[in-house]
Amino acid sequence: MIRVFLVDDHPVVRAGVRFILERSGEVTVVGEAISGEEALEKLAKTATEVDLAILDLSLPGIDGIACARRLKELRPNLKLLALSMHEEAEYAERFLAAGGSGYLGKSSIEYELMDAVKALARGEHYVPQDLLYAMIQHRQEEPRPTPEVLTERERSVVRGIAMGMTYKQIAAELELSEKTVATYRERAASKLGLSSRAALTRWALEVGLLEGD
Amino acid sequence: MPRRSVSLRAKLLGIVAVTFAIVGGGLWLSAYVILNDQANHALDARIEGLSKSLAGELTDYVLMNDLYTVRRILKRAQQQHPDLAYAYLLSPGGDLLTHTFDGGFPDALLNLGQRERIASEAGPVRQRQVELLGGQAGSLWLGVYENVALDGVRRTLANLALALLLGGLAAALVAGRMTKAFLAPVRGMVAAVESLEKGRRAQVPVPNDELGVLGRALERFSETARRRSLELRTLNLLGQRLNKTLDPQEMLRATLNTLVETRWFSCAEALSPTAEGGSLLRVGCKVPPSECPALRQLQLGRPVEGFQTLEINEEVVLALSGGTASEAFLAAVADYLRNGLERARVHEHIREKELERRRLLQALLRAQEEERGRIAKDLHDQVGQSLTALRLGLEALEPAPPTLHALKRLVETTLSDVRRIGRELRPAALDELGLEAALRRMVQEMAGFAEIESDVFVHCSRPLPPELETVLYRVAQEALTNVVRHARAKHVSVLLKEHNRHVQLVVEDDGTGFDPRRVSESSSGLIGMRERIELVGGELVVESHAGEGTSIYARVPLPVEVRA
Repeated sequence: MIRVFLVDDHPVVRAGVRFILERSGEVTVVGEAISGEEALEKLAKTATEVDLAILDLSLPGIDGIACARRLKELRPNLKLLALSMHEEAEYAERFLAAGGSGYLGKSSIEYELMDAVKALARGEHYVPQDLLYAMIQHRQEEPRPTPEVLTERERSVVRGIAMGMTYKQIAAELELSEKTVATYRERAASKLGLSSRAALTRWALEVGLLEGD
Repeated sequence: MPRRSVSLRAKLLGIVAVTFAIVGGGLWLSAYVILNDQANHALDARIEGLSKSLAGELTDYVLMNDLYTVRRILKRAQQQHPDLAYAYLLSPGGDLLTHTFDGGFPDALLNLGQRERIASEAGPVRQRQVELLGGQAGSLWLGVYENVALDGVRRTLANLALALLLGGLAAALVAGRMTKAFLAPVRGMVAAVESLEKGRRAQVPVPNDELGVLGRALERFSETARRRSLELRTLNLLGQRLNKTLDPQEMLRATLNTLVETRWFSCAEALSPTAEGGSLLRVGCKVPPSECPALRQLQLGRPVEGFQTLEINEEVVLALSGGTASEAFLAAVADYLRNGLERARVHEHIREKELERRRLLQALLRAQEEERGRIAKDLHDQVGQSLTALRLGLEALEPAPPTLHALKRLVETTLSDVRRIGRELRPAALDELGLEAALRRMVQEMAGFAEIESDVFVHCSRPLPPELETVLYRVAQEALTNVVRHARAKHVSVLLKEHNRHVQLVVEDDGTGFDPRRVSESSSGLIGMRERIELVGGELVVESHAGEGTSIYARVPLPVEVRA
């Protein structure tokens, strides 16, 4: 039996979650709280063994993340699962950083809740596939070309682009026509395999093209 | 054609020369006539005397027919009187009896007869005939050189001419010197006028004669011109200084400083009949404000004496002392200052209106954001939670009705709609996670929905002030909306970067683009973006050409101190 403590200010949600958990026959809900403060108080007073706390992130009073941090201080072995209306990867990252072990959007409760609870009970982490993908997406390390592949003019144009200058400003600074600037940009972009201003800027910063500004 | 100019000095010298020539010539001419006349008379008298004395001496010998003695006497007379050119004796019948010619008697003489003057090699000779005994004893003819008698006259005339010439030269020299001295003041005046023309101060010569009148007039004129020029320069300077500022206090200071610096007055004050203490500004005044006579008189409501006062408006009177200036000049100064103050007032009015407008707009936008945030939060927390609860409740229904699945789908769709609407109103992520996360989410969602590739790059070293984040988020949102709606782009890129105390947002797409001159800002939502950006002191630039995509640049200055 997995012992679960529920923290959510909405009674119907609590009831629904309790229903889903208990119908599996593998989980028993040992306590409930409607706020972070109440949860901390209850868990501090009783010595009841709890394996897992399921937290809503938007709580009245202290928010879910602060609550998670304090629960972890109170009971370091307690596993924490967030049940959130927010489905941005950043929230998941923050919650995991605060000591949580799993993160679940409320839109997928009925399908994934039991998987998540079981995974956490086994000592694993749980984050839905799409969130996980979003979390790692912008951390991917791509092999980046060195500035030497560009000519000096192309480098200057990319530098201006990365500095957020308008094409008109770049043209004026390099004493070129706007058409020529566009041509240099095209060439640099195709050499680097990066088409957008954002990507060019990221590259310029990574290879140190903007240093000295 | 310009007339040939002749200098005044040459003219004066010409007058002296002509006068001298006329006087000298007349003098010499009358001397010539008088002397010649006298000489002629003297010559005639001499010939008369000579011939009579010779005739008396000769008559007896002629009667005795002693021609030898007659000749001897004549010869002797010729020796005694060198001017006696010749003498001869004719018989009553006209025959030549004797003569003094050594080389024979020139017959031509007889033919000349009674002619009185005869030209000879040694000069003109005057001939006279004396009858001896009434012609019964013949006649004696004498020729006398005129030269001998007239030479003296000629010498005298030559000397006179020389004296006149020397006198003339001396007079010319003196006249030259004198005209030079006489013309010196004129030259001085010309030089003075020339330097006045160049705007320099000039010393005008004032001699003690009629030229002195001109000199004094010129001096007065020069003084007037100098004052005028100084007045103009002062007004010019004042105008420049007044144009540099829009602060009324600064304008007063500029006016007082200008009047004192240009030395019109040694003390200038701006007094106010209404202000507490009465004194606004003082320049160059030695007396402490509490003892200032002008101020005291003003406070007592008396006309201010001993000062030149200048009423600018109801609140400001200038009291000037330690100098004088013309009424016209002071009126111009007052006009300048009054115009400046009016300009400042109008500008201040416009600025206040603009500030008020901005404050209102800012308050409006803030209220709108707050309201949106509140609605979004309610949607998210209340409606969202309730829908979640509803879904979980449906799950718990026993026994499950046949429509359960459809109902659950409906609740799910509604829930996701509610959440989307809430995010569009105001994403919780913006307040809780910051601009970067909210921006990423928004771009992902909007671009994903329109099936456009997107790329977001954020590079900020510190969190931005929340208000700024909202502005940038809304601008990006508006730009993205345009991209999705109109651009038909394949790719959109969002760059948010802190650089040099500014934060820059660039939203760039590769879509159809547009001609910024042809699309009105109000229709494209640009006006809203620009308004928001300008409210936080930034600027918005749109770069687009038909067929070449669109770039929207927002550049906003960061507050110096940013609290995390």
